[in-house]
Amino acid sequence: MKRLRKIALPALFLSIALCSCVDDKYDLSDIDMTVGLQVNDLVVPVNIDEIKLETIFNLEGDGHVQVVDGEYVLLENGEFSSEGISIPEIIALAPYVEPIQIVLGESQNSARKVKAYASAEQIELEIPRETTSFNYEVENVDKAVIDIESAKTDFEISLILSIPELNSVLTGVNIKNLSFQLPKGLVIETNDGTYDASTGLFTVGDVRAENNKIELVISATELIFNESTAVFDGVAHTLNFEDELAINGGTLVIGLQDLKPGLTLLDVPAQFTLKVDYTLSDIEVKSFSGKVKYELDGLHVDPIHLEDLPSILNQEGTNIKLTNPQIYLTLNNPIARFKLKAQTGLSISSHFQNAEDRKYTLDENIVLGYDKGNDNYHFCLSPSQPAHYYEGYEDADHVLFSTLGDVLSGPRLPYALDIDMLDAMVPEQTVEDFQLGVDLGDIHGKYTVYAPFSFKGGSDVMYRETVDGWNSEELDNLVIKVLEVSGVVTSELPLEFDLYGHPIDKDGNIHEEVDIEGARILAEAKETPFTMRISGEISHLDGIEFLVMAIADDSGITLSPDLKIYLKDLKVKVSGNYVDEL
Amino acid sequence: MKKYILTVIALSISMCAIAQSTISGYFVDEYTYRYQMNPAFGNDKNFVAMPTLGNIDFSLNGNMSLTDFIYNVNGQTTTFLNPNISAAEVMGNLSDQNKTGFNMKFGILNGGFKAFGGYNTIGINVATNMNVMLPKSIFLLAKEGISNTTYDITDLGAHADAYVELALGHSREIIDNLRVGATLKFLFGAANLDANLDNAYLTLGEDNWTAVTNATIQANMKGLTYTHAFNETTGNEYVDGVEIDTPGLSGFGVALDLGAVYEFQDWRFSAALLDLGFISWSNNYVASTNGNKTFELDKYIFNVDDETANSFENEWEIMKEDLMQLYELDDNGDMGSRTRMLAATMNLGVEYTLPVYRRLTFGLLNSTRFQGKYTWTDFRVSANVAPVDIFSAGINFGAGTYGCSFGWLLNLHMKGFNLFMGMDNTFFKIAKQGVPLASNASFNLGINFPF
Repeated sequence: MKRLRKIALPALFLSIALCSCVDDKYDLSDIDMTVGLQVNDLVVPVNIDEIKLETIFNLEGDGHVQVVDGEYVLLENGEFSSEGISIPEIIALAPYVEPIQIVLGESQNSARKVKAYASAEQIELEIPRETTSFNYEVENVDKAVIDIESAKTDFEISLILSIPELNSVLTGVNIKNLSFQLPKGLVIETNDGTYDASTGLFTVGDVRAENNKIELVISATELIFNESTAVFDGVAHTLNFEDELAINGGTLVIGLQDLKPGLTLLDVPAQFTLKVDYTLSDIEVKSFSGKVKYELDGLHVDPIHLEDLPSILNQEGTNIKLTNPQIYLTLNNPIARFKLKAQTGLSISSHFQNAEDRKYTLDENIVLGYDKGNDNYHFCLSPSQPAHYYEGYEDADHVLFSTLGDVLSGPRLPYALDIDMLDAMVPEQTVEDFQLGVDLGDIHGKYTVYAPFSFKGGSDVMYRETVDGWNSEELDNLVIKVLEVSGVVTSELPLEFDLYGHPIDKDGNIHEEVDIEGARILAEAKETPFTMRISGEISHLDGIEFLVMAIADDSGITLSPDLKIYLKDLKVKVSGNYVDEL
Repeated sequence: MKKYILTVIALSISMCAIAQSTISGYFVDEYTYRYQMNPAFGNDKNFVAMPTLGNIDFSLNGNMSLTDFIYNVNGQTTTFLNPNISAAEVMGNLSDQNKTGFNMKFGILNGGFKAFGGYNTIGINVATNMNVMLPKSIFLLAKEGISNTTYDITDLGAHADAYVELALGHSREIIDNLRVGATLKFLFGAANLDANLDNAYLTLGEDNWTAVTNATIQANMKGLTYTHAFNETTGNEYVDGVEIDTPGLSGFGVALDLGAVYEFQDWRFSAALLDLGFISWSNNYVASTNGNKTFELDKYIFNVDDETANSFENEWEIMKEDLMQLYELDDNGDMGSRTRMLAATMNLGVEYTLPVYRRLTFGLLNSTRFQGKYTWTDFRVSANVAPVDIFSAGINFGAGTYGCSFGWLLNLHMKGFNLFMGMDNTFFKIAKQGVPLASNASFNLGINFPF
């Protein structure tokens, strides 16, 4: 049996050998396993849901771009303040005043004195007018003080009238019609006499000088410059107050009753000296009426950094001009009670990487009135008065800032904005009773940059995004010859788009040799067909760099999260081949 | 490694191809197993087959050849997927329905003897049939590339069965010149498998892509269970393989071969119907999609917003899940018994004996196998000669469903010893490794002991 099997099986193979011949073209031990798969204009239909703008913007957290009232807005809030408003006191240091000395009576041993005194019950001696002078000088008066009409001050004039030589004889002496010449233009309230500001005459009248001495302290609460000799030089910032002091006259009456016990009039010296000593206080001007002009310092706004803008807006080539951005300001006026206005200009500087800064200046100054007293004052700075003011600024005053819409324009969006207050000041104004030497408070304020994303016609948005990392061993074997994306688009966006796709190889280089036809999507397109096509030999594909160039139309539509793009009949057509070694 | 796998597959095909069916022996004098093609044929001698070597019958039939898939480009052997082979060339070589079938009949023990007024046969054989059909669309997809058209692969299917038959045959001349015969077969099923894509197409339209599948696998084999996998994304448990534990008798059936031979002068007409019967399989393990599973691309709407439920990522995952469901089969379990008809074969022959040299005959034979979508037919003319009493031979040329073929058979039938071998489909070219390049191949070999 086994022998038979041994015969049968070889016979089987022998029969094959006899019947067949070897075809050398087919060697199953050495097969080229190269596999090529073709894709010929394969159309892949794709359904894309409506694309909301909020998906494209993809806002994160509390960045500068926010949604306000359903619209995209560049929104930034901040606060600022000036340094405290204060004009230093004007202090005029007291000058030395030469005393007045008047010799009264006859020479001591004269017969005439004996004859007169012996029989008299009283002696009367006329006091002649005698003067002295003073001079206050102040330099470096604060330059905010432009003119002084009057100054409130604690100015004291102390004078001591004395006749020391009579002290051994008399207990006192009476003086009739005593008057002094004081500086003109003072406001004096006293019971010791009457003062005529226009003449400076201070009339004491009849007065008794106990112990032969009269002390008067005359307090002036105000100095009226145009009635006095005080001169304020608003240019040199000096104050000069120079005038005469005088004992203007009076009659010295010595009676018997004035004599000390046991003495007679003959004991009264025939000749003695009446002395007037003046002591002037410093003149400290607490407040003044006149004119001021005050420069506000330290009015500083921190820069607004815009690095966190959505990437779709924050790329080279994006040049946006906004239709009507607004800056809202809230300011107080700490000097409103003095009926003083303040004003400031404003500029915004846009800072760019590798490009010169651009500066935009407010057309007119912001004028901070005083009609609201201590309440806040609201302003809206914008190219045109908006139909509705931002919440909380309903009573704002509009200030023209015609170039504000261009603040974001440039080679790309600025990375930062600087807001500078220009020439912030209390302009020259007449003031009454303006306090000096006290902190009147600062101007503090809040600002809100509220810039709705309503683009001016011609604004450009350039957006590049690279989607890569696709390359793999399998994809490396793929050669794409045509990649075409087509469809029908309806767009609510006020932007005209040009879309391009540039294939990128695994070395990160853009395939330059391929032909690229971009797709144009018109602004507010209605059921408009579009086609984007890449053709050529695309190998070693690793990704695609998408380039979107958008140009705004003149519709003035503000971008909002709910604006949509509808893509219908979207088709991706692919041709190519895949070659691999299995 | 992949090259080796391909080589092994090709060699497997070649192993099938080394046997010829017995059609070439239909008219050959003293060919021992003609009664298996027509039970009305009786041998002149009694015989007993050499156990396991009495009749080995392999055949590979189909319209796909190795050269449909292996090409030579600039002296290098390569596959049909090579980009240097044009799609037109590959598709030109393929049919709309590409079939291949492997049939084996293996005689364990056979014998024949004269008694009861006729000729009686008894045999125990193992029969195995496997058929695969691949629609052209599959190759179109792979070779021509994906394009916007419809790929219909509905007819993709496979069948396999294996059984042991106990055959008892008897033939006798009932009237002058008319001989009839019948064989009763008792069939013991080992395994049966039918896998079909009842509905499967992929329509890649420009407005929508649609895929539909409707697949069923029916497996009849004792001890078979489907293994499962769990798709975490779809939440479905699906069939991913089979396990066989303690296989055994899985079915039982009965079949009948009927035949008749009528001689008129120099003509002999014959007709036979084989394998008229069925096997009732006791366990029918069904895995199925349970109806059409459909994938519609336009159902998926992608949203560019990553936060939405239908974001690209989420929708892509859903789409992948739905795609997976296309080929996920549910395990329906044992659906009970299943009765399956055998693939019947009809043989119609006419033989003319040359009067001037009666050792030479010419024959015309039509064989048709009825097996649904695997049905085939073959017409064959032959010249058969028996120059001496102990040797006969025949050559034939056939044409049919699977193309043209050339066959032959040599039969040495001395007293006490019989050796035959033959091929219905002679392959004239083989690869370097001996693998036939033709689509059809067969071989028949047997050693028997006549007495």
